[in-house]
Amino acid sequence: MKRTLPILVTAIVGFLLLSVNFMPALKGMEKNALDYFGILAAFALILGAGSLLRTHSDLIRRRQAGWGYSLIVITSFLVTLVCGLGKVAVPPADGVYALINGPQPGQVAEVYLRDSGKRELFVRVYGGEPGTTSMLTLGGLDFGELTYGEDGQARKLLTYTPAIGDAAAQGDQRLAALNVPPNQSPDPNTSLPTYTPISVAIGEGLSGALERHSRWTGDYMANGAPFWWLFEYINKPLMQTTFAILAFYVASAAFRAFRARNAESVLLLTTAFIILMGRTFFGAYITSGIPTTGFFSFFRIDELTGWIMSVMNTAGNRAIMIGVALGIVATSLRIMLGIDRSYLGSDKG
Amino acid sequence: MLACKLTQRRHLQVAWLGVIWGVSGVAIAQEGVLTTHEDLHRAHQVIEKLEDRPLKYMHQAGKLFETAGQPLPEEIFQTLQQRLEATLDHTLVPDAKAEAFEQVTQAADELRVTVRNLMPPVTAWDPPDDDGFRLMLAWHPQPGAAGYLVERREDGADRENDDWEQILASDSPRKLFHEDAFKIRKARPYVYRISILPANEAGDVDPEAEPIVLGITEPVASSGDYWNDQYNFFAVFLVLICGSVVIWIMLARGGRDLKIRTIAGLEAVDEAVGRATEMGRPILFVPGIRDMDEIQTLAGVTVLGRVARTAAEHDAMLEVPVCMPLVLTAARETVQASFTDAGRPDAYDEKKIYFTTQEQFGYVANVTGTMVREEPATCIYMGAFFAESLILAETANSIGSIQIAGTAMPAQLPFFVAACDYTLIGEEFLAASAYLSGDAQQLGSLKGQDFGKLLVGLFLVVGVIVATLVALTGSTYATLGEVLNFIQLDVLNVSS
Repeated sequence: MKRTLPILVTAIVGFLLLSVNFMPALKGMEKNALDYFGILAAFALILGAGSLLRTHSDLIRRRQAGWGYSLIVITSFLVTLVCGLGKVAVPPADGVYALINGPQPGQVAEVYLRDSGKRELFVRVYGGEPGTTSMLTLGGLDFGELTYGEDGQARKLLTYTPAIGDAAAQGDQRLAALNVPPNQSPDPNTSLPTYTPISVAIGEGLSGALERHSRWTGDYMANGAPFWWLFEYINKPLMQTTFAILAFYVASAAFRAFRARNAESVLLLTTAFIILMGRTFFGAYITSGIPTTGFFSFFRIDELTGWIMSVMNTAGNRAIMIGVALGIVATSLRIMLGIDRSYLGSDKG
Repeated sequence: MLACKLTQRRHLQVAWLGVIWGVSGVAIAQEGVLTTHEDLHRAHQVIEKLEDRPLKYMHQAGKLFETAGQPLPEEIFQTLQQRLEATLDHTLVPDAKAEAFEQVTQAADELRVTVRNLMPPVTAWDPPDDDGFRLMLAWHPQPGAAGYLVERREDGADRENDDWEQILASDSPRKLFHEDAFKIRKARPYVYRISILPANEAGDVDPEAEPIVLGITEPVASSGDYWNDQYNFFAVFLVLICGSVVIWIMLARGGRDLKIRTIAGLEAVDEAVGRATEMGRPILFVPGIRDMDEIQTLAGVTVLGRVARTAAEHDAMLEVPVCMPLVLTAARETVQASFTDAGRPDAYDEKKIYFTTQEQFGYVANVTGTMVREEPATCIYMGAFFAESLILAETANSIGSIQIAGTAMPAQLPFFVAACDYTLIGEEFLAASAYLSGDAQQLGSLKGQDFGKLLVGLFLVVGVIVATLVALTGSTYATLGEVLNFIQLDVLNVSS
């Protein structure tokens, strides 16, 4: 069972994901399968983090060479974890909301008001009497009637876009009178102004107030938050530095690889030389005297470079990709049919 | 002398525009228009994609005219065809080519208008080959409209009731997906009302003017399709290739002798492991930086199992830094099982297979640091790699390790070929697990995929011959052109 169940799951999910490409009605199942993988990966992350902490803790405990770096790793890990999970100094989500329970069983109203460039009002009411209507009032302003459908639900979506430049304001002008508090103070030296909750009334039985979202609703990567700062000013520069070093690695690899040892290496060297020259101003300059039309235009360095990249390079690339695609088909079939089980561990029993 | 107030004149203007739009809508809504969902969808695709893929959608536009029983606009087709041929003429100077491209755009615009006139002024349909949660809308663009208002209600509601749900206010005719605030329910019929938002003198939406109804669609309900017709030929190819793999597996199981060519990189694994044992230095195995949902990582982990068994047999140290937590779990299981199979369960050290970080360059910094400190005798890279491939290969080269790499990423192969001692290119890497196992069934699958290569080769030869003959003879709508169109548009489903 230890090996049979994973093989069965692999086969079922594998053939399902294959079928989805041909059967659009199963797209929902594809999304579910991929979500399950994401959930598993999230649990596995705990294992990975545990492995990381244990490895470096052992190094620190035994004071092995380089244990100071392990201390930095663990400290960075914990600081980032606290800042991210705790949403330290993260502003709340945009807008205000109200969740109102009505006197009738199942009667609930959700109202969201947000301002993200344009002001949007979402209203959804459940558990109403089909065919009836209720008046929506916000902050003392009437916003029309809500009509309950056969399923007892009523919905409303209103938008308002303020005037920009010469363009006039659009949408429901009554929304302009409702003040949606910003989620971040425009001046970092001052705190957010006090917000006075906007009253909400839907018909006779539903009334409440639009309140601010809690701190936990904010985006952990919000600009200015410590978590964002760690990535923006520590992680990104380090990544970009490492990526920049790559240029020197390319130069050293090219220096070793481009040697005229035999016919193929001479061909490689010549092609590399043409491509390198074609990417420089000097290369374009030395062939600028060749006419741009006619047969000899092919020998202009930019034309030659383009032809090599678009014809020769593309042909080679496609040949490899065709082989890879066929290899993926065969490998996937072996795994889905349970013929190749080495990724599960031992082949025996 | 008539003295009109500004507002009265404005109302008269809007009313007159409404008459024009209404009459034009009536004039267009005659017999000979497209009505089925498939035809409307195809017409919409022609309108949307004609400029990007002129040959394919010109072909489809011709079919639409035949379906609607309308005469083909021959002049537009010929102009478009001639301009397309001009754009393919390599002897043209850049200016002439740019002019040809512009003329293609103009001809495509004209053809789009004629195709649009095959559709009623306001249409809603269920697009084919989808999961059933989409409906599409299209309407004719109207002169003088600053925008369009789209409203919806469920069919069956009181037609006299004016309560429509506003879906969006758009500034151009567009299609509707299900990503609006009010999602579509499958198989529930909806009716859509499109209204014109009149413009003021500045050209913006006039806030004082009432929207003018352009049209109300017929009830339309979405439905999911259980087969995507666009992939018919693809399904045939898949069945052929998979069938060939399965047949060869069965033949191999039946004892048929199979000859697989030698792959130098895989033959060198034993040598590389032995070198590490003699030098008393570890083997470093890097299974790529993607997760277990990537086939290359799976292939890498299966190769890891073989390498681990060889390492256990030779009593060599094996170190596996991984980039993804799920790969950590799989790698540990694989290596432990391999050590157990080799009769050396005591030699297995879980701490030698460890998780570093999911960040690409953080991972490569860790691995290169390990290389410089511990100086492994052998470095094996098997999996999916990106920019870090050269950093790994060059660092290992600097410490004198023997390197064996395998990846199916075409962009990284040149780096590995330049810096490593052995490189498994593309399908060689994916065949590594079967090759190293020596299992007849797995080797049979390698033979089966060769049939796929034969099929690809056949299509390449036929396609090249037909395309060359079409280019030489200049035929487009004659027999050879039709064959080429069929291969490109229907079989391969690609653009011209």
